[in-house]
Amino acid sequence: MAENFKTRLKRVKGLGSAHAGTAGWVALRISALTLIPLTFWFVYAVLHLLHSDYTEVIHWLKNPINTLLILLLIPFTFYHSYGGLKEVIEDYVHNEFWKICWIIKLKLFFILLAVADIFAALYICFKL
Amino acid sequence: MVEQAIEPSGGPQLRERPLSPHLSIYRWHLSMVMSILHRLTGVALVFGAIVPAWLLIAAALGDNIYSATIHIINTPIGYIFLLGWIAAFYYHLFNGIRHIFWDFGLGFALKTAHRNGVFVLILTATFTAATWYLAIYGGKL
Repeated sequence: MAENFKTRLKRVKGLGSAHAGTAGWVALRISALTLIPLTFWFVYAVLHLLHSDYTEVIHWLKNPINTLLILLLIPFTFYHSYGGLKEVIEDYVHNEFWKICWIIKLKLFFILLAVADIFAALYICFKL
Repeated sequence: MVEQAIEPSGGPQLRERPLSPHLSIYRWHLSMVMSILHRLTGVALVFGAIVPAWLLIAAALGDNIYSATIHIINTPIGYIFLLGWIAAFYYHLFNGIRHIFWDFGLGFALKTAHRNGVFVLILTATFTAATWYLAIYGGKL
């Protein structure tokens, strides 16, 4: 077995704590706190827009305050989603390769969705 | 689980290691169910968030695509999903606040944790019912 030719140092390196977990832990809590008022507003917005047609929705979205709150809601929502799902993957996917694969896929997916949504919000506000 | 232990003598040897007790061992209790629910609702909310995320893009793309999406949502199944999303949202929100209190070491004693767990469930039920009522009978807010 090739494993046996590795030194003891080589065998343990990269497997332990990176001593960089605290920042992510704190960031998940801060995004959670920020989302408390933002999501309450969002539930109100959903109830408000539930019975509106397209023109009314666009009119509502073009209101600068609504655009601003949406632009705040998007990054915090997707950051918190990413942080939460990452924690779940870290707990249940034990294969190091697939774990990292899934985390990267998640990150790219949320970045894509967030960029598309931010662009859509700005486009509606300024171009529609 | 069988783990490879490197013996001082050199060669790797197979040795049975004791396992920590897992989920199936424990009697179900409120804190445990609520902890599991926090994760489940969290994952469900992420999938639920994709709908409004798409709606915003659809609104930018024009009336046709936006109305087609609304048409899909505006069905009994769509409404059940919306109401389920609201319930999951309130649960994750209130239990999340409970978790943040715990992070500061507050309300963490056994009996207190059970009590604020019940409180979270009551808050979730109340807010969910109120929001459902507004969504179904409230008309345009």
